[in-house]
Amino acid sequence: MRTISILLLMAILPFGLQAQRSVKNFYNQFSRGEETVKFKLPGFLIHMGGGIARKHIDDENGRLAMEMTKYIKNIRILVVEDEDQIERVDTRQFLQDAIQKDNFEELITVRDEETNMSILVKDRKGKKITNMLILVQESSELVMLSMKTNLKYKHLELFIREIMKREKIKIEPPKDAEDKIEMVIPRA
Amino acid sequence: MGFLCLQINAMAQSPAVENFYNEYRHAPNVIDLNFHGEIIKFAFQGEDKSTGDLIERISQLRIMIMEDKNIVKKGDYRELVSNLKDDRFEELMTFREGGSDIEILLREKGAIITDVILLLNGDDEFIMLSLEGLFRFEDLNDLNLNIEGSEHLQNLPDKRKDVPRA
Repeated sequence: MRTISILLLMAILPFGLQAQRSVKNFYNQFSRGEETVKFKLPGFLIHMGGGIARKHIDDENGRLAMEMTKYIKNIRILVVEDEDQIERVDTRQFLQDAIQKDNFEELITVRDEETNMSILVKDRKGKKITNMLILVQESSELVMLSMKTNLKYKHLELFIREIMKREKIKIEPPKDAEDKIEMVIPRA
Repeated sequence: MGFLCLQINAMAQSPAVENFYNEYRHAPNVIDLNFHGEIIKFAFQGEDKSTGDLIERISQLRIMIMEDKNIVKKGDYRELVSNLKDDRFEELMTFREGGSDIEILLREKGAIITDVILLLNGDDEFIMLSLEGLFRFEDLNDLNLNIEGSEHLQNLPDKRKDVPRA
């Protein structure tokens, strides 16, 4: 029995190690420098930092975001402001690899001429988000956050709905077929 | 139970749609939005129960919008529609509104509609709205998502037999 267990563990271990290879490969493409910041943080430091930051942030949405840090187990952060480095990388291929090889799923993608924002997740049985990948790219800046989380969809839902409530974001019904509808976000 | 059984298969997007998106999504003046069903539920929860039930059954919503200029080549558009038909989509309705041609195509598994594609092809704009989920025909004109293009679904009648034929 023990031999079988060890053999099974050896069989599945390579798959565990390969998880998120796309993220690691993307992260390693960038060298640290004046215009590139990259680091990893363990969960306890994030929770501590989030707790401290909450006390010092005036913005309600910011404080709400800090509360969400309790669901983060660890985070890998990459910020690149070197346009040459940004131009050289193929973020499309990275996202494709994350989806096809590392089983991420697109949660939201918003892309226009200037900005490219994607949030990808891996979840367990559609209930808990185990990994989240956020990529924001503009011509002069690229930000990637890769997190292991303990976040349930209902936490995310409450967070989004709270933000929408605070920002009084309304979705207005069309008056007629010609009316173009947009989300109404009142300016402060 | 029928809805649950079909859920897994409903997630697979048509290769014709995927290829078309990949061809144009990175072009200038193109806006590309893709939402997982969970995000749509968050945004629209709190609506009345019937709308809420309908929203729950959307697994993915994707929109490609070109404003000010339609850069889709005629050949690519025809190929898209042809490939969709090869991929089991059926053309439900075609009409003209405000100078643009609008086509609605469906893909079904038995009596359940798993994919809805709305194409708006005008001189100065193009919209492709792709909806995946599990719907009945009478649900489609209730899909008031308040997103560019979705208002044209309200042109559909409640019953399939009432869809105007050429």
